[in-house]
Amino acid sequence: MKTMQMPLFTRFPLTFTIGFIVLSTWTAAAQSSLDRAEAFVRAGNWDAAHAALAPEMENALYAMDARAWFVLGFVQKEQFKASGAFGLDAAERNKAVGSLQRALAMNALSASDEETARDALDFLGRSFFREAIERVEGFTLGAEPEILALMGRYESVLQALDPAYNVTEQRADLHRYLGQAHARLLETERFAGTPEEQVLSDGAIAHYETSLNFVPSHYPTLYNLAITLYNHGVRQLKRINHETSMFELMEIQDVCVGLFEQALVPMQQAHQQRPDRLETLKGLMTVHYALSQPEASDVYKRKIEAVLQKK
Amino acid sequence: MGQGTTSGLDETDTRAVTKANFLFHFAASNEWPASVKEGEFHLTVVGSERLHAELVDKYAMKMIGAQPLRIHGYERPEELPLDAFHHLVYCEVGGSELKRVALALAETPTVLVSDSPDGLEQGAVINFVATGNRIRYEINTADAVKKGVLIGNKIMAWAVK
Repeated sequence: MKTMQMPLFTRFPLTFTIGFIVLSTWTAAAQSSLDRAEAFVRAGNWDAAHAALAPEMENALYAMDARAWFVLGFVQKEQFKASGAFGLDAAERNKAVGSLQRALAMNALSASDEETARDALDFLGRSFFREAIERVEGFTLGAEPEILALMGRYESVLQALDPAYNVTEQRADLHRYLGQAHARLLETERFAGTPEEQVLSDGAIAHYETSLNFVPSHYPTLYNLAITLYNHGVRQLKRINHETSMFELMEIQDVCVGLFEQALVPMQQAHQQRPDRLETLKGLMTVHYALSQPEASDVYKRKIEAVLQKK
Repeated sequence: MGQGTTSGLDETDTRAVTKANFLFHFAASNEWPASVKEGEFHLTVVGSERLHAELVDKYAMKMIGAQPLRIHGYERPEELPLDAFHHLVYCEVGGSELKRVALALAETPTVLVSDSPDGLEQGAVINFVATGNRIRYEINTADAVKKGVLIGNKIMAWAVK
């Protein structure tokens, strides 16, 4: 904490004296802003603390004061919590992250202040991740860019705190959840026959594949990818009716077979992870059947019977 | 959100969907003798409940020329009533049972469709085959001619032999 220096009036000419008086008055005011802010912090009055400190932060004295940035960041974090704001544009959160990161970057905080600043940043970073997951749970078409941006903020905050922080698992989880969210919308049939249906299908597949890039051989992701591919093929097939021409039938078959062939690969990989899992055995039996491979389908049918007999 | 699998496998019988549409095209695009071009058009399925259900669901009462399409279904070949005329019969079972059905329908303009590796040898006029993981079909055109049924150009064009 800085202390106010009293000018020695008698040693200096008048102009210097006036200058010192102005500087000292301004310095005292600035210091007292931090003191006042801290008093408001102790009282839990975040808005008053912010009002006392924020306007002073561009002044030269506080601009390089790690403690002042730390206090301001802490206040902004509390304001964010109290506001209930969310999303990329939640101003208090973005400001809090900026202030706390600035405080830490100066390498001048006490050990306990640094720990508190790191905890506060960790909380703010994880709030981005929580929000990203909440957005996935209530997923709507078009929400994806914001979800990925929230995830990006989470990663940048956490990796700024610890450059070695590994976000691989969370990335894999988020993409798997996004894959599931796309697939669930597809299953509602709300977008049946619209261009959005293909967008959703492509989105689900792309997210599952991205998730597998982060964590390969993840059983649920492999299984869900296989099911999404297979079900999308079946969805096309179910639209066949008496108005479908022979040419269209052949075209639809080509598309479906392509999807079924693609589905077979992750379904087999999932099966290798858990050879006795009934859902995968049934999946392989069904996909081979759809591919007009009755012998291969029967192999899995017999395996299902064997597994059921063991139970 | 959990770690488990969330999506369910669509249990639609995909082959039944495709075969049903093929059968509808066989009914609509071939030319039957004038003697059987009045009244209802009878399409009969033997041994495939799901194919029968698919046909009933999507194609029953659709018009085949001037004839409304009537779908019949039987579990086993011996249940097929031979005293009634069927324009198109699909028989799921192969081998000797298919041969018996073919012999019973030999003197009628019934087009017998099978899904058996030796379907044409057993007497079917059209037989579904798997080619490149797809459902296609082969035709015994000579047999169709003997029955007085003219296989349509569209049907011929997509046949594998």
